[in-house]
Amino acid sequence: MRSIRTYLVAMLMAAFTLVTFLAALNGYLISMREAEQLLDRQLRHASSVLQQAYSGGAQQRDPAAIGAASAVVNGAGNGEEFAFQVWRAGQLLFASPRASVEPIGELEAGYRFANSGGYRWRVFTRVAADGDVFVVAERADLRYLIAEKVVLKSVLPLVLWLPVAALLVWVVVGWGLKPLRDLGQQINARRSDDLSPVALERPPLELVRLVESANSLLARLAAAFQREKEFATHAAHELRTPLSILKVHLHNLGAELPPGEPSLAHANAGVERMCHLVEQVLDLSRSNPELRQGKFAPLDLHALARRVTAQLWPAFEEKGLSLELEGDEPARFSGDEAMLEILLENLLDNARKYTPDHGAVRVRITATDSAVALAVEDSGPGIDEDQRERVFQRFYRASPDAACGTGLGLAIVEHIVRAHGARITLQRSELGGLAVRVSFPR
Amino acid sequence: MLINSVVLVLREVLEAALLLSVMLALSLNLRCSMRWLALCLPLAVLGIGLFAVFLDSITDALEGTGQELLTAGLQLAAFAACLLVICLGERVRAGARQSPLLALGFSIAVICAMVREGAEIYLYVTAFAASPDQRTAVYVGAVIGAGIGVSLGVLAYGGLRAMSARAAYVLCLCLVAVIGAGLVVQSSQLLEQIDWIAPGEPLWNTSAWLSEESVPGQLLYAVVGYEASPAPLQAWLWLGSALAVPAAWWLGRAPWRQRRAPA
Repeated sequence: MRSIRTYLVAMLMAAFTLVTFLAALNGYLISMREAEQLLDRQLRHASSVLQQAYSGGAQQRDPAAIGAASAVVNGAGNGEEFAFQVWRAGQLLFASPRASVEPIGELEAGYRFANSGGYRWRVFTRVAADGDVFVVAERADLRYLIAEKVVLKSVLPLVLWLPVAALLVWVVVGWGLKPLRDLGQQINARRSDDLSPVALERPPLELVRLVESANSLLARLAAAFQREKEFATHAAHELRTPLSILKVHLHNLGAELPPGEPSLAHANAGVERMCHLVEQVLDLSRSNPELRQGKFAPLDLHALARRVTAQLWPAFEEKGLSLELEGDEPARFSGDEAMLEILLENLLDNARKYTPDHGAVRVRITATDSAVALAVEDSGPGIDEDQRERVFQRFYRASPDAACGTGLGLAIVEHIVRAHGARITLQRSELGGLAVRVSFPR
Repeated sequence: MLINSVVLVLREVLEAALLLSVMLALSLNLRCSMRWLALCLPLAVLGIGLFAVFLDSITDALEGTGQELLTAGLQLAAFAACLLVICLGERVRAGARQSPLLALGFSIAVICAMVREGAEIYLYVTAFAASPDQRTAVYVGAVIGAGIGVSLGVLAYGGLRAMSARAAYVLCLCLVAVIGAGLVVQSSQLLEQIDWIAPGEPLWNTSAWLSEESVPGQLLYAVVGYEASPAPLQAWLWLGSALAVPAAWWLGRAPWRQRRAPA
């Protein structure tokens, strides 16, 4: 029972059934007792009628008197369930047609059960002042059945209506759990970057603390994200200024030193790498879907790719790489253009870095009704299958000797893919190297 | 008639419902998948159906002792499965991997108990099917008895689920001990009825305090095998069966403790 509703309905129905059935049994026992008493009073009354009918002193079995007494006890009964006898000094004076000639039970005043003629009887015996004994008897089994039939009519509805009660309990428990369902739906429907407090209209007491705790947690989370965002942005900005100053000093130093000084070349390369790293850290921070409010607008990915490839063309040409752009034009969908530009730059930059000189890089864009797919393929060494999941981790490098990479490029790409609800896969390229495919939903 | 019907059906259903609740609570406690339940409920219904179809053949088998032997066998099998569950369950608690035998133990215990009790109810209810005067009272009584028994079982499961895992486990072991001992005593009485076991002189007689014929006496008989005047064999069987539960618990625990000790 993993559902609270099922659990509650099962427990409530069990408790309800138990109490109802026990109450029904109690009611049954009380009613049966009442019915017994009522039937006993009828027996007593029948004996009184019999005594009055017999007061004429009839010596024979009188059908009129029998009928009168029978009617009191049985109504329209056929007489089998009822018997009576009149005794005087041990002599049977008068009896119902099917009554035994032997006394039905002891001839002493009062109620009792007795066996006679193969049946068990409920007997009332009246002893008159003149010594005559009037015995009125009713078959115990039949009288019990009649009483039970009557009582069952009041018990049966309790059993038959139980499924209706179960249905009502199911519906009512569902109403009771509605605030919990609303809370779950509200949290589920949120965007991943929405850390605003949960607002539940008139929350029940049981949920007030939960909502307060969740809101407190969300507030702390929002503050932590804000601090992280500000730290990365501030740190990157603060590093940019001394790096720019360093570049100026290196430039001046280059003017003073003889051309081709190896230490200066190393220093320049180091500063360039550090500048790139700072930009990457800034991009990583900016592209984090948890921190960034995306500026989504309709765009043409093919046009964007044309612009980015044109910008990066000189760097490709420098290594003697061929760079092709193929595919459907236009390839429109809703995206964050600035972020997608960073994504393309990183994918192309990786392809350029890891493809040997005079290799080939191809950008292909295909559009279908449901998605726009971007593929960046190269003729480089590719990435082993067992490393393809890990290359999206920050500062992870598939090849340790790839000194030119920061290990942040694919982490930034993964952030941007996630922010767009897209899917990224790394495969073997037809060109022999890596094929990075990103599918954006339309 | 209604009261008789309620008591008889409640007596049977209560025992099976309590055993099922305890097995479910143990399964939850041991983090064992509940898939065994989905399998054993239809199997129990099938078992009751087969019993109904072959009732005459079963009754006449083995010189007229077939029904008693089958019922006693089901009760002993249910108890043996309970012991298996406790032994393997304790191993799981001690860190061993879940064994398929554990789910099998749960299934056998529940199927045997349900088939045995279901067959008794079937016999009783069908005996009155041809009597229109009493049929309604018997059916309504059966529904009320079954409703009370199932409700008590569901509430027992809810109670065991609401307790802390440790307390629920200990209580489950205690319940298995008394219910299991009751099963063994009931089976011994069946074997006594067919003269497989000789009746002995009663050790004591508590009829004056609690008669076996009274409603509480009948319910206690169903759940824990209460006997107002037990023979020595029955008393020893009850005690031995109840002690078999801690023994199974120890058996499941001991080898694992020894292996861990050197570390």
